[in-house]
Amino acid sequence: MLQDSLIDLTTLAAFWDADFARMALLCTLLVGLMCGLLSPTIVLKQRAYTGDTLAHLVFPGIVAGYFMSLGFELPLWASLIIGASVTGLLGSVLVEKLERILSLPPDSAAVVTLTGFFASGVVAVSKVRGTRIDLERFLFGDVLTLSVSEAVLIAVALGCVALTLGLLRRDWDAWLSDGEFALLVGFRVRLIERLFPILVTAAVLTGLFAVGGLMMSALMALPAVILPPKSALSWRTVVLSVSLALLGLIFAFALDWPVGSTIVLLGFILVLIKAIVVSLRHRAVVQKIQRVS
Amino acid sequence: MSLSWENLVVGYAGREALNRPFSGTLEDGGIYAIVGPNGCGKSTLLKTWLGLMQPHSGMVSLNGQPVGPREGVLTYVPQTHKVNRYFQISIFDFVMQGFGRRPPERSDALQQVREALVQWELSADADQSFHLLSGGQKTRALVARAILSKPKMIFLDEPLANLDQCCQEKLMNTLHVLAHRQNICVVMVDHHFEAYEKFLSAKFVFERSHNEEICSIRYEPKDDTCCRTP
Repeated sequence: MLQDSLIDLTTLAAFWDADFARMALLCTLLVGLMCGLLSPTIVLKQRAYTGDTLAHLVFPGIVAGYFMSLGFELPLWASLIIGASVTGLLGSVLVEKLERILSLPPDSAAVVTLTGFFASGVVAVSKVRGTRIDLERFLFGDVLTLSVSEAVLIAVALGCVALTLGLLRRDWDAWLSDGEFALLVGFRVRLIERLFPILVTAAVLTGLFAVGGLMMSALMALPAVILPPKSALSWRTVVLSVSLALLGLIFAFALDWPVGSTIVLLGFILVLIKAIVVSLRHRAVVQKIQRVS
Repeated sequence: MSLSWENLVVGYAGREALNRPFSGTLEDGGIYAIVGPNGCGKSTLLKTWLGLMQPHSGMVSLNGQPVGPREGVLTYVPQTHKVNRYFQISIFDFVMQGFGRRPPERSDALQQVREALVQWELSADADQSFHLLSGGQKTRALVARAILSKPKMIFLDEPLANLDQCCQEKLMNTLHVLAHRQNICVVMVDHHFEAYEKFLSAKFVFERSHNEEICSIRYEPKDDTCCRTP
Protein backbone atom coordinates (compact mmCIF):
# COMPACT_ATOMS: atom_id res chain seq x y z
CA MET A 1 0.00 0.00 0.00
CA LEU A 2 2.85 2.33 0.97
CA GLN A 3 4.52 1.40 -2.31
CA ASP A 4 1.39 2.45 -4.20
CA SER A 5 1.41 5.71 -2.35
CA LEU A 6 5.05 6.34 -3.18
CA ILE A 7 4.33 5.63 -6.82
CA ASP A 8 1.64 8.27 -6.58
CA LEU A 9 4.35 10.75 -5.60
CA THR A 10 5.86 10.48 -9.09
CA THR A 11 2.60 11.64 -10.63
CA LEU A 12 2.22 14.49 -8.16
CA ALA A 13 3.54 17.09 -10.61
CA ALA A 14 0.77 16.26 -13.09
CA PHE A 15 -1.75 16.50 -10.26
CA TRP A 16 -1.08 20.26 -9.85
CA ASP A 17 -2.39 20.87 -13.38
CA ALA A 18 -5.94 20.39 -12.11
CA ASP A 19 -7.84 23.55 -11.11
CA PHE A 20 -9.10 22.04 -7.85
CA ALA A 21 -5.53 21.17 -6.82
CA ARG A 22 -4.31 24.71 -7.45
CA MET A 23 -7.29 26.08 -5.51
CA ALA A 24 -6.48 23.67 -2.66
CA LEU A 25 -2.87 24.87 -2.68
CA LEU A 26 -3.92 28.54 -2.58
CA CYS A 27 -6.44 28.02 0.24
CA THR A 28 -4.03 25.90 2.29
CA LEU A 29 -1.37 28.61 1.94
CA LEU A 30 -3.82 31.33 3.03
CA VAL A 31 -5.03 29.26 6.00
CA GLY A 32 -1.41 28.49 6.96
CA LEU A 33 -0.54 32.20 6.89
CA MET A 34 -3.59 33.15 8.94
CA CYS A 35 -2.95 30.47 11.59
CA GLY A 36 0.73 31.46 11.78
CA LEU A 37 -0.24 35.08 12.41
CA LEU A 38 -2.80 34.26 15.12
CA SER A 39 -0.85 31.43 16.74
CA PRO A 40 1.30 33.56 19.14
CA THR A 41 -1.74 35.30 20.62
CA ILE A 42 -3.76 32.09 20.83
CA VAL A 43 -0.98 30.32 22.76
CA LEU A 44 0.34 33.24 24.84
CA LYS A 45 -3.16 34.27 25.95
CA GLN A 46 -3.89 30.61 26.80
CA ARG A 47 -6.77 30.53 24.36
CA ALA A 48 -5.80 27.36 22.47
CA TYR A 49 -9.26 26.00 23.19
CA THR A 50 -10.88 29.00 21.48
CA GLY A 51 -10.69 27.49 18.01
CA ASP A 52 -12.09 24.20 19.23
CA THR A 53 -14.87 26.01 21.09
CA LEU A 54 -15.78 28.11 18.06
CA ALA A 55 -15.77 25.07 15.80
CA HIS A 56 -18.55 23.62 17.95
CA LEU A 57 -20.38 26.90 18.59
CA VAL A 58 -20.89 27.48 14.88
CA PHE A 59 -22.49 24.08 14.28
CA PRO A 60 -26.11 25.07 15.06
CA GLY A 61 -25.52 28.14 12.87
CA ILE A 62 -24.42 25.89 10.02
CA VAL A 63 -27.62 23.87 10.40
CA ALA A 64 -29.70 27.08 10.51
CA GLY A 65 -27.78 28.42 7.50
CA TYR A 66 -28.56 25.25 5.53
CA PHE A 67 -32.28 25.73 6.11
CA MET A 68 -31.98 29.45 5.39
CA SER A 69 -30.47 28.67 2.00
CA LEU A 70 -33.53 26.52 1.19
CA GLY A 71 -36.09 29.03 2.49
CA PHE A 72 -34.64 32.32 1.26
CA GLU A 73 -32.86 31.15 -1.89
CA LEU A 74 -29.54 32.46 -0.63
CA PRO A 75 -26.28 30.92 -1.93
CA LEU A 76 -25.37 28.06 0.42
CA TRP A 77 -21.93 29.45 1.32
CA ALA A 78 -23.42 32.86 2.24
CA SER A 79 -26.19 31.47 4.42
CA LEU A 80 -23.77 29.10 6.15
CA ILE A 81 -21.40 31.97 6.93
CA ILE A 82 -24.28 34.13 8.25
CA GLY A 83 -25.65 31.32 10.44
CA ALA A 84 -22.22 30.31 11.72
CA SER A 85 -21.23 33.93 12.46
CA VAL A 86 -24.37 34.51 14.51
CA THR A 87 -24.05 31.41 16.70
CA GLY A 88 -20.25 31.76 16.88
CA LEU A 89 -20.44 35.31 18.23
CA LEU A 90 -23.46 34.54 20.42
CA GLY A 91 -21.67 31.53 21.92
CA SER A 92 -18.46 33.53 22.50
CA VAL A 93 -20.39 36.20 24.40
CA LEU A 94 -22.17 33.49 26.43
CA VAL A 95 -18.83 31.85 27.36
CA GLU A 96 -17.56 35.21 28.63
CA LYS A 97 -20.78 35.92 30.56
CA LEU A 98 -20.88 32.47 32.20
CA GLU A 99 -17.22 32.83 33.17
CA ARG A 100 -17.87 36.21 34.81
CA ILE A 101 -21.30 35.67 36.38
CA LEU A 102 -20.67 32.16 37.76
CA SER A 103 -16.93 32.79 38.45
CA LEU A 104 -16.05 29.73 36.35
CA PRO A 105 -12.56 28.89 35.05
CA PRO A 106 -12.45 29.85 31.32
CA ASP A 107 -12.08 26.25 30.08
CA SER A 108 -15.15 25.07 32.05
CA ALA A 109 -17.30 27.91 30.70
CA ALA A 110 -16.11 27.07 27.17
CA VAL A 111 -16.76 23.32 27.45
CA VAL A 112 -20.24 23.80 28.92
CA THR A 113 -21.24 26.22 26.17
CA LEU A 114 -19.65 24.42 23.23
CA THR A 115 -21.23 21.09 24.10
CA GLY A 116 -24.61 22.77 24.61
CA PHE A 117 -24.44 24.49 21.23
CA PHE A 118 -23.13 21.39 19.44
CA ALA A 119 -25.84 19.23 21.02
CA SER A 120 -28.54 21.66 19.84
CA GLY A 121 -27.18 21.37 16.28
CA VAL A 122 -27.15 17.57 16.45
CA VAL A 123 -30.74 17.51 17.77
CA ALA A 124 -31.86 19.88 14.98
CA VAL A 125 -30.28 17.64 12.32
CA SER A 126 -31.75 14.46 13.80
CA LYS A 127 -35.28 15.89 13.91
CA VAL A 128 -35.45 16.95 10.29
CA ARG A 129 -35.72 14.02 7.92
CA GLY A 130 -33.95 14.16 4.64
CA THR A 131 -31.37 16.70 5.86
CA ARG A 132 -28.04 16.16 4.18
CA ILE A 133 -25.53 18.15 6.19
CA ASP A 134 -22.08 16.66 5.80
CA LEU A 135 -20.93 16.57 9.44
CA GLU A 136 -17.59 15.07 8.45
CA ARG A 137 -16.84 17.95 6.09
CA PHE A 138 -17.71 20.44 8.83
CA LEU A 139 -15.38 18.76 11.33
CA PHE A 140 -12.49 17.85 9.05
CA GLY A 141 -12.99 20.08 6.00
CA ASP A 142 -12.39 19.22 2.37
CA VAL A 143 -9.85 21.40 0.69
CA LEU A 144 -10.45 19.71 -2.69
CA THR A 145 -13.98 21.05 -3.04
CA LEU A 146 -13.28 24.74 -2.36
CA SER A 147 -14.57 27.40 -4.73
CA VAL A 148 -13.25 30.86 -5.64
CA SER A 149 -15.77 32.55 -3.31
CA GLU A 150 -14.46 30.52 -0.35
CA ALA A 151 -10.86 31.40 -1.28
CA VAL A 152 -11.82 35.09 -1.40
CA LEU A 153 -13.42 34.84 2.05
CA ILE A 154 -10.26 33.27 3.49
CA ALA A 155 -8.14 35.98 1.82
CA VAL A 156 -10.33 38.76 3.28
CA ALA A 157 -10.09 37.26 6.78
CA LEU A 158 -6.32 36.90 6.35
CA GLY A 159 -6.07 40.54 5.24
CA CYS A 160 -7.95 41.71 8.34
CA VAL A 161 -5.75 39.61 10.65
CA ALA A 162 -2.49 40.77 9.00
CA LEU A 163 -3.53 44.43 8.91
CA THR A 164 -4.65 44.46 12.55
CA LEU A 165 -1.51 42.75 13.82
CA GLY A 166 0.75 44.89 11.66
CA LEU A 167 -0.82 48.20 12.69
CA LEU A 168 -1.21 47.37 16.38
CA ARG A 169 1.90 45.26 16.91
CA ARG A 170 3.32 47.25 19.87
CA ASP A 171 -0.11 47.49 21.52
CA TRP A 172 -0.60 43.78 20.94
CA ASP A 173 2.78 42.90 22.54
CA ALA A 174 2.10 45.12 25.55
CA TRP A 175 -1.33 43.50 26.02
CA LEU A 176 0.20 40.02 25.79
CA SER A 177 2.89 40.69 28.40
CA ASP A 178 0.93 42.71 30.99
CA GLY A 179 -2.55 43.92 30.06
CA GLU A 180 -3.12 46.13 33.12
CA PHE A 181 0.12 48.08 32.67
CA ALA A 182 -0.55 48.35 28.93
CA LEU A 183 -3.97 49.84 29.65
CA LEU A 184 -2.59 52.37 32.14
CA VAL A 185 0.14 53.72 29.85
CA GLY A 186 -2.26 54.17 26.95
CA PHE A 187 -1.86 51.10 24.72
CA ARG A 188 -5.08 50.27 22.85
CA VAL A 189 -5.95 47.31 25.06
CA ARG A 190 -9.74 47.73 24.93
CA LEU A 191 -9.66 47.77 21.12
CA ILE A 192 -7.52 44.61 20.96
CA GLU A 193 -9.73 42.83 23.48
CA ARG A 194 -12.69 43.50 21.18
CA LEU A 195 -10.86 42.67 17.95
CA PHE A 196 -9.21 39.43 19.08
CA PRO A 197 -12.37 37.27 19.39
CA ILE A 198 -13.71 38.71 16.12
CA LEU A 199 -10.50 37.86 14.26
CA VAL A 200 -10.39 34.34 15.69
CA THR A 201 -14.04 33.81 14.79
CA ALA A 202 -13.37 35.02 11.23
CA ALA A 203 -10.34 32.72 10.94
CA VAL A 204 -12.19 29.65 12.22
CA LEU A 205 -15.25 30.32 10.07
CA THR A 206 -13.34 30.84 6.86
CA GLY A 207 -11.02 27.90 7.49
CA LEU A 208 -13.93 25.66 8.45
CA PHE A 209 -14.60 24.26 4.99
CA ALA A 210 -10.93 24.08 4.01
CA VAL A 211 -9.46 22.07 6.85
CA GLY A 212 -12.40 21.75 9.25
CA GLY A 213 -13.16 23.39 12.58
CA LEU A 214 -11.23 21.00 14.78
CA MET A 215 -8.15 21.18 12.55
CA MET A 216 -8.25 25.00 12.55
CA SER A 217 -8.09 24.84 16.32
CA ALA A 218 -4.91 22.72 16.20
CA LEU A 219 -3.33 24.73 13.37
CA MET A 220 -3.73 27.94 15.35
CA ALA A 221 -1.98 26.46 18.38
CA LEU A 222 0.79 24.28 16.87
CA PRO A 223 3.20 26.90 15.38
CA ALA A 224 3.64 28.86 18.62
CA VAL A 225 3.86 25.64 20.66
CA ILE A 226 6.71 24.41 18.45
CA LEU A 227 8.50 27.77 18.20
CA PRO A 228 7.69 30.02 21.21
CA PRO A 229 7.32 33.58 19.85
CA LYS A 230 8.90 36.78 21.18
CA SER A 231 6.22 38.99 19.70
CA ALA A 232 2.56 38.81 18.66
CA LEU A 233 3.78 39.17 15.09
CA SER A 234 6.39 36.44 14.79
CA TRP A 235 7.79 35.73 11.33
CA ARG A 236 9.28 32.38 12.33
CA THR A 237 5.86 31.23 13.53
CA VAL A 238 4.33 32.33 10.23
CA VAL A 239 7.05 30.57 8.18
CA LEU A 240 6.62 27.38 10.25
CA SER A 241 2.85 27.47 9.84
CA VAL A 242 3.02 27.95 6.05
CA SER A 243 5.69 25.22 5.75
CA LEU A 244 3.53 22.83 7.79
CA ALA A 245 0.51 23.63 5.61
CA LEU A 246 2.42 23.07 2.36
CA LEU A 247 4.14 19.89 3.51
CA GLY A 248 0.85 18.58 4.87
CA LEU A 249 -0.88 19.24 1.56
CA ILE A 250 1.82 17.45 -0.44
CA PHE A 251 1.85 14.45 1.92
CA ALA A 252 -1.95 14.33 1.93
CA PHE A 253 -2.14 14.27 -1.89
CA ALA A 254 0.67 11.74 -2.13
CA LEU A 255 -0.73 9.39 0.52
CA ASP A 256 -4.42 10.09 -0.16
CA TRP A 257 -5.00 11.32 3.41
CA PRO A 258 -7.33 14.17 4.52
CA VAL A 259 -5.41 17.45 4.21
CA GLY A 260 -6.29 19.06 7.58
CA SER A 261 -5.54 15.90 9.55
CA THR A 262 -2.22 15.39 7.74
CA ILE A 263 -1.06 18.94 8.56
CA VAL A 264 -2.05 18.51 12.20
CA LEU A 265 -0.30 15.12 12.39
CA LEU A 266 2.92 16.65 11.02
CA GLY A 267 2.72 19.42 13.63
CA PHE A 268 2.00 16.93 16.40
CA ILE A 269 5.06 14.86 15.40
CA LEU A 270 7.18 18.04 15.60
CA VAL A 271 5.81 18.75 19.09
CA LEU A 272 6.72 15.20 20.20
CA ILE A 273 10.23 15.54 18.70
CA LYS A 274 10.66 18.87 20.50
CA ALA A 275 9.52 17.30 23.79
CA ILE A 276 12.05 14.46 23.39
CA VAL A 277 14.92 16.85 22.51
CA VAL A 278 14.12 19.19 25.45
CA SER A 279 13.85 16.26 27.84
CA LEU A 280 17.18 14.75 26.65
CA ARG A 281 18.89 18.14 26.90
CA HIS A 282 17.52 18.62 30.42
CA ARG A 283 18.73 15.14 31.42
CA ALA A 284 22.20 15.87 30.01
CA VAL A 285 22.43 19.09 32.05
CA VAL A 286 21.38 17.27 35.25
CA GLN A 287 23.97 14.51 34.62
CA LYS A 288 26.68 17.10 34.00
CA ILE A 289 25.85 18.88 37.28
CA GLN A 290 25.88 15.54 39.14
CA ARG A 291 29.29 14.66 37.66
CA VAL A 292 30.75 18.04 38.70
CA SER A 293 29.40 17.79 42.24
CA MET B 1 -2.21 66.33 39.91
CA SER B 2 -4.94 65.33 42.33
CA LEU B 3 -6.36 61.90 43.03
CA SER B 4 -9.43 62.06 45.24
CA TRP B 5 -11.98 59.58 46.48
CA GLU B 6 -15.29 59.93 48.28
CA ASN B 7 -16.94 57.35 50.52
CA LEU B 8 -14.80 54.74 48.83
CA VAL B 9 -15.46 51.09 49.59
CA VAL B 10 -13.38 48.52 47.73
CA GLY B 11 -13.96 44.84 47.00
CA TYR B 12 -14.50 42.33 44.23
CA ALA B 13 -17.82 42.40 42.38
CA GLY B 14 -20.34 40.03 43.92
CA ARG B 15 -18.29 39.64 47.09
CA GLU B 16 -18.31 41.38 50.47
CA ALA B 17 -16.93 44.90 50.88
CA LEU B 18 -13.40 45.07 52.28
CA ASN B 19 -13.47 48.39 54.13
CA ARG B 20 -15.65 51.04 55.70
CA PRO B 21 -16.27 54.11 53.49
CA PHE B 22 -13.41 56.60 53.52
CA SER B 23 -12.58 59.79 51.67
CA GLY B 24 -9.40 61.69 50.90
CA THR B 25 -7.15 63.35 48.37
CA LEU B 26 -3.58 62.72 47.27
CA GLU B 27 -1.96 65.63 45.50
CA ASP B 28 1.62 66.36 46.50
CA GLY B 29 4.79 64.43 45.88
CA GLY B 30 5.69 61.95 48.59
CA ILE B 31 5.81 58.25 49.40
CA TYR B 32 2.55 56.87 50.77
CA ALA B 33 2.44 53.36 52.24
CA ILE B 34 -0.61 51.11 52.38
CA VAL B 35 -0.18 48.66 55.23
CA GLY B 36 -2.30 45.98 56.84
CA PRO B 37 -2.65 42.24 57.33
CA ASN B 38 -2.85 39.75 54.45
CA GLY B 39 -6.13 39.71 52.56
CA CYS B 40 -7.43 42.97 54.05
CA GLY B 41 -7.70 44.68 50.63
CA LYS B 42 -4.45 46.64 50.19
CA SER B 43 -3.86 45.60 46.56
CA THR B 44 -7.59 45.98 45.83
CA LEU B 45 -7.45 49.58 47.09
CA LEU B 46 -4.37 50.22 44.90
CA LYS B 47 -6.13 48.86 41.81
CA THR B 48 -9.30 50.81 42.58
CA TRP B 49 -7.31 54.04 42.83
CA LEU B 50 -5.70 53.18 39.48
CA GLY B 51 -9.10 52.63 37.85
CA LEU B 52 -8.30 48.98 37.11
CA MET B 53 -11.15 47.85 39.39
CA GLN B 54 -14.59 49.32 39.96
CA PRO B 55 -15.22 50.43 43.54
CA HIS B 56 -17.80 48.55 45.59
CA SER B 57 -19.30 51.99 46.26
CA GLY B 58 -18.14 55.59 46.22
CA MET B 59 -16.02 57.16 43.51
CA VAL B 60 -12.42 57.90 42.57
CA SER B 61 -11.47 60.87 40.42
CA LEU B 62 -8.27 62.19 38.90
CA ASN B 63 -8.20 65.97 38.49
CA GLY B 64 -11.97 66.00 38.85
CA GLN B 65 -12.59 63.36 36.15
CA PRO B 66 -13.40 59.69 36.80
CA VAL B 67 -10.10 57.83 37.10
CA GLY B 68 -9.01 55.83 34.06
CA PRO B 69 -6.07 55.17 31.78
CA ARG B 70 -4.39 58.38 30.61
CA GLU B 71 -0.99 58.33 28.98
CA GLY B 72 1.88 59.52 31.15
CA VAL B 73 -0.21 60.12 34.24
CA LEU B 74 -0.53 56.93 36.28
CA THR B 75 1.75 53.93 36.20
CA TYR B 76 1.88 50.65 38.02
CA VAL B 77 4.45 48.16 39.26
CA PRO B 78 2.49 44.91 39.71
CA GLN B 79 3.68 41.80 41.50
CA THR B 80 6.03 39.80 39.23
CA HIS B 81 3.56 36.95 38.66
CA LYS B 82 1.18 39.35 36.90
CA VAL B 83 3.42 39.32 33.81
CA ASN B 84 2.40 36.65 31.27
CA ARG B 85 4.76 33.77 32.06
CA TYR B 86 4.42 32.19 28.63
CA PHE B 87 5.63 35.26 26.75
CA GLN B 88 9.38 35.03 26.06
CA ILE B 89 9.74 38.80 25.63
CA SER B 90 13.28 40.15 26.09
CA ILE B 91 14.08 42.47 29.00
CA PHE B 92 14.95 45.23 26.53
CA ASP B 93 11.58 45.06 24.75
CA PHE B 94 9.79 44.69 28.08
CA VAL B 95 11.32 47.86 29.54
CA MET B 96 10.72 49.65 26.21
CA GLN B 97 6.97 49.22 26.80
CA GLY B 98 7.27 51.90 29.48
CA PHE B 99 7.15 54.54 26.73
CA GLY B 100 3.57 53.57 25.94
CA ARG B 101 2.14 54.18 22.48
CA ARG B 102 4.21 57.23 21.64
CA PRO B 103 7.88 56.55 22.27
CA PRO B 104 10.47 59.27 21.61
CA GLU B 105 12.60 59.16 18.48
CA ARG B 106 14.11 55.69 18.07
CA SER B 107 17.75 56.50 18.90
CA ASP B 108 16.64 58.52 21.94
CA ALA B 109 14.30 55.71 23.07
CA LEU B 110 17.03 53.08 22.73
CA GLN B 111 19.46 55.27 24.68
CA GLN B 112 16.96 55.82 27.50
CA VAL B 113 16.22 52.10 27.76
CA ARG B 114 19.95 51.29 27.84
CA GLU B 115 20.47 53.83 30.62
CA ALA B 116 17.53 52.41 32.59
CA LEU B 117 18.95 48.89 32.23
CA VAL B 118 22.37 50.08 33.46
CA GLN B 119 20.76 51.93 36.39
CA TRP B 120 18.87 48.81 37.47
CA GLU B 121 21.82 46.44 36.76
CA LEU B 122 20.01 44.58 34.00
CA SER B 123 22.14 45.48 30.98
CA ALA B 124 23.93 42.09 30.99
CA ASP B 125 20.54 40.40 30.65
CA ALA B 126 19.00 42.79 28.10
CA ASP B 127 18.36 40.05 25.52
CA GLN B 128 17.33 37.47 28.11
CA SER B 129 13.69 36.44 28.41
CA PHE B 130 11.90 38.19 31.31
CA HIS B 131 10.90 34.85 32.79
CA LEU B 132 14.45 33.55 33.03
CA LEU B 133 15.33 36.29 35.54
CA SER B 134 15.27 35.93 39.31
CA GLY B 135 12.41 37.47 41.32
CA GLY B 136 14.55 40.47 42.26
CA GLN B 137 15.66 41.08 38.67
CA LYS B 138 12.05 40.90 37.52
CA THR B 139 11.04 43.52 40.08
CA ARG B 140 13.87 45.78 38.89
CA ALA B 141 12.69 45.39 35.27
CA LEU B 142 9.13 46.27 36.33
CA VAL B 143 10.37 49.37 38.18
CA ALA B 144 12.56 50.43 35.22
CA ARG B 145 9.58 50.07 32.86
CA ALA B 146 7.29 52.07 35.17
CA ILE B 147 9.75 54.94 35.66
CA LEU B 148 10.40 55.16 31.92
CA SER B 149 6.73 56.07 31.43
CA LYS B 150 7.46 59.38 33.25
CA PRO B 151 4.31 59.23 35.40
CA LYS B 152 2.81 61.85 37.70
CA MET B 153 1.76 59.11 40.09
CA ILE B 154 3.33 55.67 40.52
CA PHE B 155 1.65 52.76 42.31
CA LEU B 156 3.71 49.76 43.45
CA ASP B 157 2.37 46.42 44.69
CA GLU B 158 4.82 44.74 47.10
CA PRO B 159 7.98 45.81 45.24
CA LEU B 160 10.30 45.13 48.20
CA ALA B 161 9.32 41.48 48.62
CA ASN B 162 11.76 40.00 46.09
CA LEU B 163 14.62 42.47 46.54
CA ASP B 164 17.76 42.04 48.63
CA GLN B 165 18.58 44.80 51.13
CA CYS B 166 20.89 46.63 48.74
CA CYS B 167 18.22 46.77 46.00
CA GLN B 168 15.52 47.69 48.52
CA GLU B 169 17.58 50.71 49.57
CA LYS B 170 18.26 51.63 45.97
CA LEU B 171 14.56 51.45 45.13
CA MET B 172 13.56 53.53 48.15
CA ASN B 173 16.22 56.14 47.34
CA THR B 174 15.04 56.33 43.71
CA LEU B 175 11.42 56.69 44.81
CA HIS B 176 12.47 59.36 47.32
CA VAL B 177 14.16 61.35 44.55
CA LEU B 178 11.09 60.99 42.29
CA ALA B 179 8.78 62.03 45.12
CA HIS B 180 10.67 65.05 46.36
CA ARG B 181 12.59 66.37 43.34
CA GLN B 182 10.02 65.65 40.64
CA ASN B 183 6.96 65.98 42.91
CA ILE B 184 5.70 62.50 41.94
CA CYS B 185 3.16 60.82 44.16
CA VAL B 186 4.36 57.30 45.05
CA VAL B 187 1.89 54.84 46.57
CA MET B 188 3.22 51.49 47.82
CA VAL B 189 1.69 48.35 49.23
CA ASP B 190 4.24 46.31 51.22
CA HIS B 191 5.05 44.49 54.44
CA HIS B 192 8.69 45.55 54.67
CA PHE B 193 8.65 49.21 55.70
CA GLU B 194 10.37 48.73 59.11
CA ALA B 195 13.75 49.93 57.82
CA TYR B 196 12.28 52.59 55.53
CA GLU B 197 9.93 54.56 57.79
CA LYS B 198 12.10 57.66 57.27
CA PHE B 199 11.19 57.70 53.56
CA LEU B 200 7.43 57.70 54.13
CA SER B 201 5.26 60.79 53.97
CA ALA B 202 2.16 59.02 55.30
CA LYS B 203 0.54 55.64 55.78
CA PHE B 204 -2.91 54.26 55.03
CA VAL B 205 -3.42 51.63 57.73
CA PHE B 206 -6.06 48.90 57.41
CA GLU B 207 -7.34 48.22 60.94
CA ARG B 208 -9.89 45.77 62.22
CA SER B 209 -11.36 45.96 65.72
CA HIS B 210 -12.10 42.69 67.52
CA ASN B 211 -15.84 42.94 66.99
CA GLU B 212 -15.72 44.22 63.39
CA GLU B 213 -15.82 42.08 60.27
CA ILE B 214 -14.44 44.65 57.87
CA CYS B 215 -11.50 47.04 58.15
CA SER B 216 -11.41 50.76 58.66
CA ILE B 217 -8.67 52.65 56.84
CA ARG B 218 -6.80 55.13 59.03
CA TYR B 219 -4.71 57.91 57.53
CA GLU B 220 -1.49 58.38 59.50
CA PRO B 221 0.56 61.35 58.26
CA LYS B 222 4.25 61.92 58.97
CA ASP B 223 3.72 65.53 57.96
CA ASP B 224 0.42 67.26 57.25
CA THR B 225 1.09 68.69 53.83
CA CYS B 226 0.59 65.67 51.59
CA CYS B 227 -2.86 64.23 51.88
CA ARG B 228 -6.14 65.64 53.08
CA THR B 229 -8.76 63.50 54.71
CA PRO B 230 -12.03 64.98 55.85
